[in-house]
Amino acid sequence: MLSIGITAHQIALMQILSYVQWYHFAYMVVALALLGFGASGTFFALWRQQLLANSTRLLPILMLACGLGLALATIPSSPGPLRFDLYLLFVEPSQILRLITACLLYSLPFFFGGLAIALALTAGIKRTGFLYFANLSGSGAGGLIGLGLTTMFLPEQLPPLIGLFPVAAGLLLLPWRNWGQSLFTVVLPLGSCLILFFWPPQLLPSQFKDISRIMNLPEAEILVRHPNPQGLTQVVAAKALRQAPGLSFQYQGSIPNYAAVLLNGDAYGSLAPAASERPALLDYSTEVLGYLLTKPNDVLLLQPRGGDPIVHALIRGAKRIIAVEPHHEVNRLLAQGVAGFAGYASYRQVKLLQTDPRAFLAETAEQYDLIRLPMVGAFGSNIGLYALSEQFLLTRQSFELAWQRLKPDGVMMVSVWMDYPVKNPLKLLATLIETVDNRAGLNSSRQHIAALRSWGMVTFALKKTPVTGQDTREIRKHSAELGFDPLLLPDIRAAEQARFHRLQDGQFFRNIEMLFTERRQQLYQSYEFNITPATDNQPYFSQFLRFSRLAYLAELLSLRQLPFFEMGSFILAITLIILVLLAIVLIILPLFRLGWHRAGSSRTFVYFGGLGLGYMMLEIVFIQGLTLFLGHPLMAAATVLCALLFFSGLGSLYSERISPQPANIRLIAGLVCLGIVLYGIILIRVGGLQYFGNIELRIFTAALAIAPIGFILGMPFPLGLRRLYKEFPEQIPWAWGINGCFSVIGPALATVVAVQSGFQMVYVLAASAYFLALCSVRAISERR
Amino acid sequence: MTRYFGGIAIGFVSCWLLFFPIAESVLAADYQRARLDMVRAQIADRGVRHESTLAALRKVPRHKFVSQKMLPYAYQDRPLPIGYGQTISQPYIVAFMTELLQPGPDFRVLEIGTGSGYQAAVLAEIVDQVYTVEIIGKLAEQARERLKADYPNVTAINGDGYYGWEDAAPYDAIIVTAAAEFIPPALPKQLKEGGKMIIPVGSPFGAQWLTLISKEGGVLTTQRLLPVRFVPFTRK
Repeated sequence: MLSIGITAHQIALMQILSYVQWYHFAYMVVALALLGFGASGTFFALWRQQLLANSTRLLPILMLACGLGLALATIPSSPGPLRFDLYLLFVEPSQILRLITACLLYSLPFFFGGLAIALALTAGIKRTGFLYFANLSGSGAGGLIGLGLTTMFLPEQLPPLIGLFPVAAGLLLLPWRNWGQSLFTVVLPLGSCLILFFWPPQLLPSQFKDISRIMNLPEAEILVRHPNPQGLTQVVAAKALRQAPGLSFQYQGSIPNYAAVLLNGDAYGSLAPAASERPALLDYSTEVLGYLLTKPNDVLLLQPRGGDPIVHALIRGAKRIIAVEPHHEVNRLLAQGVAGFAGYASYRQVKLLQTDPRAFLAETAEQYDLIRLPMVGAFGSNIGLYALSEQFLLTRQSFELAWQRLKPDGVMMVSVWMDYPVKNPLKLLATLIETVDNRAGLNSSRQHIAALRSWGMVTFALKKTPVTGQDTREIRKHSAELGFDPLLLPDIRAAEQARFHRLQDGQFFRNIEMLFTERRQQLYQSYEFNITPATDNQPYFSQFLRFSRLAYLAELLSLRQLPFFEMGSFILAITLIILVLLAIVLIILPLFRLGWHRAGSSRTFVYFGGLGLGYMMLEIVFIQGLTLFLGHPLMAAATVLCALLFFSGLGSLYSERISPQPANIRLIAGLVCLGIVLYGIILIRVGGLQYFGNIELRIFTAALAIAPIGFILGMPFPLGLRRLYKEFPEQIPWAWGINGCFSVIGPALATVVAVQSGFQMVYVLAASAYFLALCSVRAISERR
Repeated sequence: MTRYFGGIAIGFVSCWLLFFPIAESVLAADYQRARLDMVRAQIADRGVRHESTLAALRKVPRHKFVSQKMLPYAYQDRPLPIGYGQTISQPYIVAFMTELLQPGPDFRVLEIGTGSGYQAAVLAEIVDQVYTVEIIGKLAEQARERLKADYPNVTAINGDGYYGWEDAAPYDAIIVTAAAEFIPPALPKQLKEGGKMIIPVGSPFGAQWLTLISKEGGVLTTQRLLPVRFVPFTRK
C-alpha cells in the first residue's frame, strides 16, 4: 500500500504541475521521488542501528508521515508563502528559493516512504524477497491506480486521497498496545487526509495562465470542470470572450461570444454558438486559402479544438467533415455542446472521432480533399514554454502521412502565428518543403505550396498537384479584397508580398526563398535558432534553442531577455542544476560521515552511478517515446512506471538465484546494453506505425514490450550489491548513495539530451552507461 | 546528526549564493535621479528623440504605478508584474510607442488596456485628452485612483475594449496595450482618417514587437516594427 501511494502520487504530482504551471514535469517528479529515496538511503546508512532497534515503533510512524506528506503536497501550489510560479522565475529572484523549497517539500514524503521501505526490507530480512516483490508490484500497481484516480477526482483531491494508502498501511502496523497514544499518532495524518480530500485547498494556477486571465474577466463563469487523465478540462464563459484569430480588417460584422475550453488551465479551444448564429469568421482569415485551392467534399480536421473549423467547412459546402479530436472530454463537448454553445453531433455531414490525430492518419485508408492541421504557435509567441513537449503531429513523418491521405488534387493546410525572431513559420515551411521533396520529387515544392499572410498570421497550403494559374488568380483576388498579402505562389513577385503588411526588413522573405533552394541545409546550420524540421526521433517542434548559439544570442538580445525566448529550455537547465545540488547535498555529502574508502571506490562509483543514470534515462525515454503510441504523456508515464518497476522487481527477485560472479554480472550488463540498443532501434522505427485497438490494448502491448528489458534491468543492481558485500562491504552505503544521486540526475539529463539530440542519443547514452558499468565489473574480475 | 543538517545548511547557502542575486534597491530619495537616469540610459541612448515623450517620461513618477514589492525595480530596464496576469511595460516600450504616435498637444488618444495607468499618464503629459479602457474592474479602479489627482485629462473607463469608446470618437491615435488575436472591428472605425493605431505583440517579459496600423483613404495597412535593438537575422 505504501508503494502504491508513492507511485500513484507521482502521477498526481504531474497532473497538479500541469495545471498550476504549464507542463507535467515528468522528469522532475521522477527525480524528486528518487531524491527522497536516495536521501532516505543515506539516512538509513547513517543511523542504521538506531533505526533497526526501534523498527517496530518507527515503521508505522514513517508510513503515517509519508501519508501526511503526500496529503500536504498541494501546499506549493496553493495560495500562501510557499507557492511558486515558474513564469516568474526570471523576474522575481525569490522564486528560485520557492522552487527549491517546493522540491524539498515534494521529496519529503518520498523520503519517509523510502525510509519505511528500507527499514521493512532490513528488519524483515528473512522475507526480503517477498517484501521486495511486494514493494515493486505495489509500485507497478500504483501507476495504474494513479491513472485511474485522475479520471474520477480533481487534481487537488488526489494527494490526500493517495495519502490514505500509506496511512492505511501505517494503521495496520501500529502496535495498538497503548490505544491512547496510537490514536493520537493516527489522528493527524488520517484527519489531514480526510479533511483535505473533502475540503481540498484551492490550486492556484499561475496568474499568467489562461484560466487565471479569463477568470479575471467580468462575469466569468466556469461551466464545466471535469477531471481526466489527459488533463483537467474546464469550460469558461464570459461576456467579453470572443475569438476570431487573424480576422481581416475588412470584416465589419459583429463577433459573437464563445466559451473557452481549457486543458490544465491553458486555452485549448472554443465552443461557438450554433453555426446558423456564427459567421464564418475563418472565411475572413488567411485560412480561406485552403478553400480557394479546392472546393472540398471530404474535409479532415485534425485536432480542430473548437467549432470554428467545422463551421467553416459547413459554410463552404463540405459533404463530409471528419473532426479528429484527441481529448475525450473536448470531443464530447464538441459533440454535445454546453449551456447555449453549439454541439455538432446533430449535423449529418459532421463525424466527430475521439482518437489521436497522428494515429488516425496512420490507420485510415480514406483520402480527403482538404486536411487541416491545428494552428501552430501561440499569439504573441509562447516564449518557448512548449520546448519540452513532444508534438508528434508536427513531425516530417506526420506531414508525409497527411500527404498520403490526400486525394490526387487534395490540399493540406496549416496556419501559424508570426513570431519574432521568426522561428515557427520558417520551421513549418521547411517541414512542408521536405515533405513535398520526399513525396513529389526534389525541387518541386515551389509549384505545390501557397501561403497567405496577414498582420499576425500565415497560412500555408500544400497542394498535391501543382498550383495552377487559375488558383493564383483566385488567391490574388481574395487577398486584395481581404487585405492579405500573398506570401508564396509559384509566380510570386516580391512587390506583392508586403503590400498591406510590411515587415521591418526583407530578411524573412529572403530566408523563405533560401528554404526552396539547395542552400536550405546551410540556412538550418547558420540560423540562430533551430529551424530544422522535427522528426519522430526528435519530436520537439517548439524547441528552437541551439546551445552553440547561446553566446551570440546573449549578446544580441541581452542576457536578461534571453530566457524569455526559450523559457522551457532554461527552466530545464535550472531544475537540472537544483536537482544535482540537492542530490549532492542530501545524498552524497552526509555519507562522508561514514568515511570514504579508497579501495575499489572508483569501480563502485562507475558501476552504481552507471546503473542509476542508465536506468533512469531509459525510463524517461520510454515515457517520451511511448507518448506517440499511447497518445498522451500521462498515459505513457503511468504505463512505463508500472511496467518497468513491476518487471524490474521480478528481475531483482529472480537475480537471487544467480551467483554474483563477475562473469554473470558482465553477461547481464552486456545483455542490458544489447537490449537497450535493440529497443532504441525497434521502438523508434515502429513507434509511429503500430496503431491498433483501443487504449487498453495499447497499454497492455506497451507493458508487454517493456517486460523483457524491465526484467533484465532489475538484475544488475542487486547482483552488484551482493558482489560488493563480498569484496568491499563498507562501500554498500556509498553504492546506494551514488546510485540514488545519478538516478536523480538521469531524468533531467535524459530530457536535455532528447530535446537537443533526439531519442536515439538517449538510448545510446543509456547503453553507454551500462557499458561503463560492465567495464568496471571486468576490472574487478581481472584484478582478482 | 549535526553534520547531516550542517550539510543541508551548506546546501541552502550554496543555492542562495548561486541563484539569489542581490536586488538593486532604490531609495525613495533617489527616485528622481533614477528616473532621469532611466530616460537617458534606457531611452534616449537607444534612439528615442521625441522631446515631448522624453519630457513626459522624466516627469511621470513610475514608482507610483507599481506595487510596494516592486518598488526597488521601478526604474529598471524591464517590465514588472502588476497582478491579474498583467504587467507595466518596460520604460523603453512605453517611450517607443509614444514616439511612434508622434502625439501633439491637440491629440485625442484612446488606450485599450489601462493596466497600471502609466502609459496613460505619459500620454496625458503630452496630449489634450486620453481615454483609457480597462476590463478588469480592480485594475481600472486602482488606475483611476492613481490618475485622478494629477491627470484630469485622463478618462479611465471600466469596460470592454472590444467596443472602443464610441462617445469620444474619432481618435487621432489608438494604443492597444492588451493585444489580442484580432483587431476589434470597432477600433479602426473610431480612428480618424490619417490616424495611427499601435499594438505591442509578444511576451510581456521578453521581446516585443510593435505593429503600427495606419488608416489612409479608408484602407488599413500595417508595419511591423521592433522596439528592441535586435539586429535582423541576416544570412550570407
